[in-house]
Amino acid sequence: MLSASPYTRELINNKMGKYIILRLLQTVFVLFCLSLLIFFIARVMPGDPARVALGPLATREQVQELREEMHLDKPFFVQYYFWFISVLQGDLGKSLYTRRPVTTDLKEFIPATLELMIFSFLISLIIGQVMGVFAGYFRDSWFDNLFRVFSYIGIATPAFAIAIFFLLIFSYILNFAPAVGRLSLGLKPPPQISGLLILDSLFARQFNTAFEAFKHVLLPATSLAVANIAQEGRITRSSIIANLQKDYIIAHIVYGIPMRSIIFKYLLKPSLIPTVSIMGLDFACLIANAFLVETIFMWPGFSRYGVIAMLNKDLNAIIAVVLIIGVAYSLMNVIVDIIVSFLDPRIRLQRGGI
Amino acid sequence: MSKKKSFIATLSIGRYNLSRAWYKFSRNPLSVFGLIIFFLIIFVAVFAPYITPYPEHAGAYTNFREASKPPSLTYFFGTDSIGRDIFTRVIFGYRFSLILAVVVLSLSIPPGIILGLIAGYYQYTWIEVTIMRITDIFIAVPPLVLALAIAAMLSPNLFNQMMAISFVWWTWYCRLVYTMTISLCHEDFVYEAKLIGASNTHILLREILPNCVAPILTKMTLDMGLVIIVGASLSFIGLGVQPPKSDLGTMIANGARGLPTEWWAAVFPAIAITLIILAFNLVGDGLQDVFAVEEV
Amino acid sequence: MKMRRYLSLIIAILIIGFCGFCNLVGAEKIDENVVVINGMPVIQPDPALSMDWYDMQAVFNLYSPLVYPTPEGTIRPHLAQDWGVVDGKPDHWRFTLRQGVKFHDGSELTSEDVVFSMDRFITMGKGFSGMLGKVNAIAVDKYVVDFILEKPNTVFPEILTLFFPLNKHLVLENIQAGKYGEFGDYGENWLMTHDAGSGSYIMASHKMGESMEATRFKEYFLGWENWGPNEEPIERLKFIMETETSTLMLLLKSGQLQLEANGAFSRQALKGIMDTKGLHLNQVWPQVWTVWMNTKVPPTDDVHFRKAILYAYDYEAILREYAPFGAQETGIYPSTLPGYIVIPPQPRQQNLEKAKEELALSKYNPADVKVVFHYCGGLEAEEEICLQLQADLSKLGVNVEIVGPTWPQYAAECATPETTPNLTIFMFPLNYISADSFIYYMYHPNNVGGIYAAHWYEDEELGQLIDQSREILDFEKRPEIYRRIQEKIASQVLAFYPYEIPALFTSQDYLIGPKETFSVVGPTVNMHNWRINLTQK
Repeated sequence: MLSASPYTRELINNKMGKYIILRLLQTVFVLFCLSLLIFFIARVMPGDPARVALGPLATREQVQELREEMHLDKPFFVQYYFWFISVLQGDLGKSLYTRRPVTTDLKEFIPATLELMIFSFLISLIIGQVMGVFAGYFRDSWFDNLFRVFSYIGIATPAFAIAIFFLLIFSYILNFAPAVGRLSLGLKPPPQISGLLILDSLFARQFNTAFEAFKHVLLPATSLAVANIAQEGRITRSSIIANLQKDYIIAHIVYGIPMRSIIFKYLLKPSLIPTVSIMGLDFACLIANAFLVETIFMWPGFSRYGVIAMLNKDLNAIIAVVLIIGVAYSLMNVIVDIIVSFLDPRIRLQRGGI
Repeated sequence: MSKKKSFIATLSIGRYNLSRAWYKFSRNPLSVFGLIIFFLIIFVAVFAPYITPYPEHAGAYTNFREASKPPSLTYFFGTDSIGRDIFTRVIFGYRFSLILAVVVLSLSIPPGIILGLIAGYYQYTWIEVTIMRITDIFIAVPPLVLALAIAAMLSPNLFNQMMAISFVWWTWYCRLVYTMTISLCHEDFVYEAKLIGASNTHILLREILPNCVAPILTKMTLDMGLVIIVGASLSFIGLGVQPPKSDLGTMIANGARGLPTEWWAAVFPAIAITLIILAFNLVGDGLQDVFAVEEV
Repeated sequence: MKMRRYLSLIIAILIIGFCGFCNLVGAEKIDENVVVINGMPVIQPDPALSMDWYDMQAVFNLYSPLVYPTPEGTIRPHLAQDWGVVDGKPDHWRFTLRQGVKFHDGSELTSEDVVFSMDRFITMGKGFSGMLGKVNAIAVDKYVVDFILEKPNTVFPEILTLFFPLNKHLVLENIQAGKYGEFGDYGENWLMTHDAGSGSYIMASHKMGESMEATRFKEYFLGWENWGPNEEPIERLKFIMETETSTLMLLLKSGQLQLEANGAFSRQALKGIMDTKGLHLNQVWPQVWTVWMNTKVPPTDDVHFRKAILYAYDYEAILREYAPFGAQETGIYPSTLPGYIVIPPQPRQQNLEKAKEELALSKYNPADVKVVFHYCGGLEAEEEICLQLQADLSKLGVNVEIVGPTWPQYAAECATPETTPNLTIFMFPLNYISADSFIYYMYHPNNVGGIYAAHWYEDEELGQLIDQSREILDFEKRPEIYRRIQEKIASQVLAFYPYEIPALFTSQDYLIGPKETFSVVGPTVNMHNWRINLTQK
């Protein structure tokens, strides 16, 4: 695959390895500091979590007992120490709101948001890239102009506004897809393997359930995807336009190579590079942007859980949520950086350029 | 990216460049359109009490008899569940969005720029390491998450909302300026300035900073839209301005309860937010064209 | 090039077509004779831990208390046949249990189970156990239990409506490691997803935060009497946790939800339900909006200022929108309870002149003061009342600042007199079937502060009166004491009450019931109280 000499390959691999390890170490350190920061913020928040958990009728003794149980009366670093030790053992503590271990909550809610994110990513990939390529190739056609208008509006409209519009138009007026939740009430969910309803029901051969789940995920995923479609599509479009003017493409056209093979072999790959880095970051951002869409569509997901935790001062849940978002986001950043630096020098070498 | 200029060169910018900038900007009709909407919104927001039909509806007012009326000639956008005119409240809501955007960016950009300059200039020292590590912590999560956590800790009002967002926003500018400063540090004109004996402050502020202006300005206009979205997200969950003041996010949250029968309470504020963000984005794109050298 | 375009177009059409087709085909049918009830997020089905009214709705189905409330506002025998004080001292009670009551697993309920459950309740120290104080339970006989209280309390039997005996052997078989010594975790973990009760329904499954299913307990000790032709007991229940109004409306209209036991609909939604054929609204327990006025912080520390607020508020404005439900609040606690008296000024009407008079009498100048009104962020009904008062007081020149903090902040603010806002709004449900449920927790000097008593008014004489009411066994004399308590409270104007509205549960027409409506939360949704007519479905 590589046209580089074995010496260059050796160099890149070594540097790559060191680079990856360095980045990962950096990420771990940053996450550690992040956990300290969030711990601090969560503890500093006004409001007594024990009092909130027990309700207004609890006696002062009961509240005091729960405070001692949660180590709330100890100094900050002692509390952090307790928390850190239990995290290392895999125990993220108990959620005050759902009253069960945070890990159980996470196991339940992360797959839901993951399903949403994956679908949103697929939709933005398929629709966004295809539209971007067409718009770039048929520049200034009616399609291109329509796409440009759409992309402006798509980027400008916040995800929750899109969600509301979709809800109104597709669910209530056209009755095209269901409005809320992951599955209609009367249906039994499939046995849980991965937590992704569609996959699980396909495994269990419950095709009807799979379809229902698909219908339910369609609207929220598309609402989330619209902004990404607009943004990534624009980037793809502009890079296709830029590449179309490059010398080597013009040379190929002059040589008489059919357009189809030019597009698939020579045009697509370089045009997709700038998009790839954006796609990775957008995917990671989805986890945070999803919460409003989840709220509107009553999707029982991780982001909504995080927001409810923050509003209810559910300490353990807040820290767990922020850390997971931090991990996902940082990892995504590292992966994207690695991919981009992987791709670029090789392609530069392929072209025989600088 | 614009050509790098030394301090002497930037002195000659003056009016000549401004008219060139306008020419580049106005070549794209969409950018001009965005600018018109932008000024329209500012005008409308500033003169809100004089041009809205029911200015008292944005304050202490209830009229349950007129609650949830659909759009009509008396109430252009209909009324909400308390009986207040939505059109008026949307216009007053623009005020809060604009104030939010302006204040947050004014509070977060200067510290971000200064810290970025210092970090980039004093590379490989403990100053850079501290600043960049702190920045890394904030960048490790999307801005909305941290802003949410902080806002949930404070009492909900506009001031705290602005503080929470500013607290996380400066890091992005710090990063941006830092990466630019690192590469600019080794330019010829910087060495020349050092040779002449220019002070560090002069180098940072007069030599390096003007070359960063272009991306900062572009990012700033795009950020105005983003800040408004983050602000609206915070208000959506109730951490923004309190009743009876009308913030666009709060209005959407309240209106979403009435879907689908009382759709006007959610749809019109949503369109309003889209419009203002669209305006900012179009202007931002236009600015990108102004500063761009390559043409697409 | 063209091929790719056509391909993507075809795929898009296929997907859209499929969805439309699936829509036509429709969703799977759900079971007959399953009643879907809407609860609230996260039900806590362990009776020693349950606290909120939605927990109680589930608990009253799965478990049985010793005594049961009546629609008239008193209590009647349930698991206990008879009870009374020993030697005339209200700190020593004796309860005689009914014989032959079966738990869900078939074993009989005896005093051993009651003693174990009471020890568990008090030791775990959560839920409503704080109301009982320290209770020592002794099994005198197989069917007789003695309770020895810390302090004499004549309302003890009424509070016992919140105590539910569990199956001792079943719980002990399922304890896990925990901090209660030989009792481990007292079965806390196991009881989240199982039940050890003797109630009318048996828990079949519980997915926290999502749904809980229960099946009918055929050997329920009260039996399943016939009501009428085709009116059958409900075989299966499913509690779901859905909070979004639009979803609930959809589910109700499509017939997928049979009973909405949340009662939190907005006015528009209520109108929509009233207009829908096949649905009707049931009035269950009364709910009183209470706005506490902080007596320790200016300007509400002046009784004339408080009276001014009382007169300035426009009671009709919101109330008329709720017609035909809701009414003016006329007293300090729900009218269905014994000892209730009407508190002047009646009728409650906005009277701006009198408000101005009272303002003039107060030591504050309207222009100099600011009234801070907090409500729990997100609750629309509370926000409405705040806005209404703000609009009313602005006519008198008084500035009102409204803030809607999050629930934890709201609760935290009421912890000290200085941080408690001038006005706080709350809706208090009746926990147990006695006026004491409100009076003791809201007005006794020991309980001052917090959400329940955010007025911070301490009066020793009031405290003595309340203690007296708890010590006097003679039921005839109690209403007299309550009358004096209420008059004293009313003269201080510690709160104003915007309106009273019953909790409104929506049900399908083919769901027959409830046979009895109770003023406390929980028992009305005991599905033993309802039947279903499948022929009408």
